[in-house]
Amino acid sequence: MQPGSTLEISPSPPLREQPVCESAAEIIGHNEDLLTKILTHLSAKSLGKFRCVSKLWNSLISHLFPPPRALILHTHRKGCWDIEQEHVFVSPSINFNNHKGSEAPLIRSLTFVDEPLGVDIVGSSNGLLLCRKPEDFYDRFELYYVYNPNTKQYRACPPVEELSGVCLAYDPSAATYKVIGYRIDAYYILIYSSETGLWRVYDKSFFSGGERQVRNLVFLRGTVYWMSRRCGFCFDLDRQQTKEFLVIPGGSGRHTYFDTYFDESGGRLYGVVERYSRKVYEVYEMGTHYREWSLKYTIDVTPLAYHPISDIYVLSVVMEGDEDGHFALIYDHGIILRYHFKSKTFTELPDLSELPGGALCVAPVKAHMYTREALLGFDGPF
Amino acid sequence: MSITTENNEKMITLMSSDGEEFVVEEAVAAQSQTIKHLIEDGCSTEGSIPLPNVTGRVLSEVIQYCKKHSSSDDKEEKELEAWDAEFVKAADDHVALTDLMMAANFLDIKGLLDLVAQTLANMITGKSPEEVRRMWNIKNDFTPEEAEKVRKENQWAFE
Repeated sequence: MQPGSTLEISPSPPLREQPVCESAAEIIGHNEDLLTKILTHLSAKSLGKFRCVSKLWNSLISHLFPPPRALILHTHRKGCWDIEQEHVFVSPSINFNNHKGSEAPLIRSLTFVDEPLGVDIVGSSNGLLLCRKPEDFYDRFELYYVYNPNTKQYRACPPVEELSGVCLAYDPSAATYKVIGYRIDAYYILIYSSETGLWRVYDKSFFSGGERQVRNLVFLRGTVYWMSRRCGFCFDLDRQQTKEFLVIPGGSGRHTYFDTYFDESGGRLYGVVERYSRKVYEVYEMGTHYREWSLKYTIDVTPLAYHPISDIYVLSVVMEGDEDGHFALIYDHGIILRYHFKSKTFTELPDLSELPGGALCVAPVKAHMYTREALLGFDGPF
Repeated sequence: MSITTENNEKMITLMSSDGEEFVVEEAVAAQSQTIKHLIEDGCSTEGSIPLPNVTGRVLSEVIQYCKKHSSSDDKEEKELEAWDAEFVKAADDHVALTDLMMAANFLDIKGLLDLVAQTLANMITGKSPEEVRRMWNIKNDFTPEEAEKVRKENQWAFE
């Protein structure tokens, strides 16, 4: 939004009988821009409740992102675990010409684009999924799709040279989205904007530290963050500025696994760092002023150590709402466990190996936040 | 008017809608992207920067916030969090917070806007739709049939 674009909402000197503040209160309840900013801080339940306030509220909320209610487990066997219903549905590869699992209850496939090999889920943002056509060794270009699972609509981005890391940034208040990627070898960021329909090259200067191994990109409140072992950066999408960003403490130097999880949950950035030969994981949380990482939780995986510990990964941390409900998802030899921070207990999720989708996953698994379809009648941008 | 202090800090003058003047360091004022752009465009050299949308009372609160969050200041995260909590508590009610939010929006101060939006969201979380309407003078423009339908669709949220 341009500064000053809301200038007209405060019409010149208010009448004496009517205090300024009252008109301000009235304005806020009817101003889409300001309301959206407030509504984005509410839980799904509050949002559902407040659809009854007025027509404007109802329509704003239907275009807003509902808070995540499920996690897409991005594995070789892609699954989606529904946090509320506690069931798993699986989409082995999103377009599944030969998908045989659809007769099984609780399993749904997300079928859209006609790619013979299906597409991989590589990210998500506020209810939309970012998907990529699987690697084709003969093709130098990559194809990305943005998919709205609720309306079952998708949009394709123009082919782009191979990207080393990518994330999706959907801004529900503007109903526009961007795909942000970087190339390790070329020291620049590429951004696709739904407004222009084009990829554009941005800031070439940010990788000056010479550190090339970058972890995943994370989009949070208008800014994209990324991090390597030694340095972090953030890119403000509105202002198109790159800045340095604090590295997770202890993320460097010691024996740390490269693909340490870095993401956001409940509106805050977090990072998972492993310690002591991978028996303890530490979850760090970024403060709301972006000045300091602080240790929030530790996960001791010693009780799981009946297998070689090297195959245990933290998939995702969910820190939405009340602290009692915070948990981590842990991958342990084909099994996914939920670790409750408060009770320090592990619970096994339904066995994914029973579900269709091919071989056991051997690679580290990533989990993407995803919003359960139709929870709020989410319309999205398309 | 631009003045320079002993510490060589450039000062600028902000003028509220009710004519009150505030002299602040440029680094403090520039946390507002709106003011920053005005300074860059040379608007501050010809006198004070007029802010026709912000009253003196609200502007003084905004300046307090900007001083505390000035980037030149190396404060601890915890200290700032505690300060923010006190700051919004002092704003007291939703009317004052609403004023503050509109000012933060006009002045384009991301941190303050987020802080106030979060506070207002917390404030309405436990309220009923009826209470929210009263709070912000919103008219229920649903017909009884429509209201019934929306209510039914979202029944889960009331349980």
